[in-house]
Amino acid sequence: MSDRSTADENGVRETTKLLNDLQDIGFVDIALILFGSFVLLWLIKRILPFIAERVPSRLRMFVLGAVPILRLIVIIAAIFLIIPLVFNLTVQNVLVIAGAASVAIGFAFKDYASSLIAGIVALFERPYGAGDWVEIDDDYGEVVNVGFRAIQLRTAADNLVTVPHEKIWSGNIANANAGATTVMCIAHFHILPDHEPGRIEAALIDVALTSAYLDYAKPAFVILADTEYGSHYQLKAYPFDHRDQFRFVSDLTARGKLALRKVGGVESAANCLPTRPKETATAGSSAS
Amino acid sequence: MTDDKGASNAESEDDKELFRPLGDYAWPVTPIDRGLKRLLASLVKRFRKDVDKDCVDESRLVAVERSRLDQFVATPTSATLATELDATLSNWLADDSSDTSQVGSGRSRLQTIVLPPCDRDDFLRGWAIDRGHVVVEPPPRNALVCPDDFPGNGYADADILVIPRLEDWFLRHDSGLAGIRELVARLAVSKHRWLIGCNAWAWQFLVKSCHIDATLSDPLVPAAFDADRLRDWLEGLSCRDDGVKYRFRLASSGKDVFSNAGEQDGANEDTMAELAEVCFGIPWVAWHVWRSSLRTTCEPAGTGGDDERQKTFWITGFRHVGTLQSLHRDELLVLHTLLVHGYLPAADISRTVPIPQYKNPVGALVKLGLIEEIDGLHACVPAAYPAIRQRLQDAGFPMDVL
Repeated sequence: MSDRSTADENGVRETTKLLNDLQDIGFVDIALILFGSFVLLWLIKRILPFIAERVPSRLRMFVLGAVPILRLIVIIAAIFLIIPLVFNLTVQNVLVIAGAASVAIGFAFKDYASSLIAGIVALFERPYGAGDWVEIDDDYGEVVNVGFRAIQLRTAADNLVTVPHEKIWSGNIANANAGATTVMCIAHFHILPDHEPGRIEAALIDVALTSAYLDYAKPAFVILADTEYGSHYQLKAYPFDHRDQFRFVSDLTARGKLALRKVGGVESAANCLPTRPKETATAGSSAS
Repeated sequence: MTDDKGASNAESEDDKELFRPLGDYAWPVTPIDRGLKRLLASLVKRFRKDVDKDCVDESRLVAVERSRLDQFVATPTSATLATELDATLSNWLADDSSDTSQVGSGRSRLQTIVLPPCDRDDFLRGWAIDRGHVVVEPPPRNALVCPDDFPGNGYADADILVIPRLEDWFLRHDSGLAGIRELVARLAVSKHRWLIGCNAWAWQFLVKSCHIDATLSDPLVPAAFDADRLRDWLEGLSCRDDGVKYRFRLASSGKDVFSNAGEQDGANEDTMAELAEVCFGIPWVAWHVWRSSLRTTCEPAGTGGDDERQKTFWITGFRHVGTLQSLHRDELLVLHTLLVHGYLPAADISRTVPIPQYKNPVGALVKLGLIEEIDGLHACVPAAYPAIRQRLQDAGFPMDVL
């Protein structure tokens, strides 16, 4: 009877013991797992983008998109390998660990945890991915890195902007290409109202159709609207590679100006516009 | 049932030698087993220490002088292709009822042939001249951006008019399309029969920029030159009646390329299949690649089994030596515009491609052997076309369609 109660007490003690005994914890194993994980993470972060720049253009987005998913898999695998080595996993202990972690995270790392969770959600919802051109708040650039807490954008001005994932909870995220290899570009022209719209439109369309950067599979078209600053023409077309978008817009703008002159268009003094369009792929080309 | 199958096979054999609708080009591909075998052979060769006695050390081989190449790999006459075009167009050529009454009748007075690029011999022009058809010349280059000087009518007496290279009629510039649009508008109401040739890259551009396929509908493309056709053709080109026997052997194995397949474990089949694949089945590209792959030993005659009655040439490989991965965007844009236009002077290259003044991509490409200058006009080197096309495709450029 006494033996049985001793055994029960041992069982309860064993069950409620949170951590394994120090001598039972495989520190070498943990170190190896951590080292292996870091090496894998480093390789994924460095090698896949390196490969992405060298594979055919159509595969680039696919390779870049695999980076955050592979990193997440490595992290989860490492956690699942390490936890049993450190903790005595029972249902009761798991609940204790989860509860303690929730409190700690809730107080100390609320924003960090929010961004981490948003990062996991972003992997599946895909509001952005590596290689996409996105606008978050006032920053427009290419997503060059998708981390666990934040993404990094490379803007047209070559600034590296870090944006936490938690922006997806509350902010608007404009994705210009959403995984595609091309992106719509717009060149803006403001013309004095006294002109023949048909000739202007035809001239601008030819400017787009003869651009060396043009994607033949996508349309090119012109939109006209009268504004208080004159007739506002928007020349819309797609380059075959979104990385050329600024060069494409520059090409459209430079040649568009010359073409407009040939057909009698006179640009208005739109440089004096009180509000200039934002520097995005769809507006960075203002000829004004 | 058997008869049906036999008839069907016979029919497909006939079809093989005719031009076919655009989009039906049979791009030569390597079967997986042959590709694996080739990969394995290259790996074995790399790691094997002992040297096959039939192999030749490639460092001992030198390129063959052009004058010698011309002796035993004669300039192709395109006779095969011309015969196939004759057969394809026999009904159209014979039908002289397509006069004024045919306008709008639905019977096509316009026949379009889309050809692969790098056709240095101007196949369609040669074909037209040989058959006595009138060749309509393009306007001078400086008139392409000034359509007021565009050539007018003047072929009232001609039955069939031929435009061999439609790519000579436009410039990819916002002022360079008026001429070809005028031409297409005239073709649509012309009372003549027209045969129009166009480079496959230019065709894709014109479809986008001028909707040319609405007027020049149902274009035809030549059948690809597969391994068998290439072997027959190249072997025929190297046959000479000067009493000298020319041998073409693989440097890697020593096997004779033009021997019977059974005797050489399919060496010639495999080699010609690789050539067809590398060159996308384009005969004139294959001819240039074939010539550029030939080497000879730098030893005096009499060694290696050669004498006055036998000359051996060694084939080193058909893939372009050197990587094009390092090419910058500006250089790729130049290559693309040259494929679209066929030939361009330097001044027109800078009109069609936004090249910064401080850069000289044309010079860099000439140095790399990817383009060359002929009579003041730049063009892609045909032997480099396979590598150029692959690089442009990898970079996402709009491609040709055959």
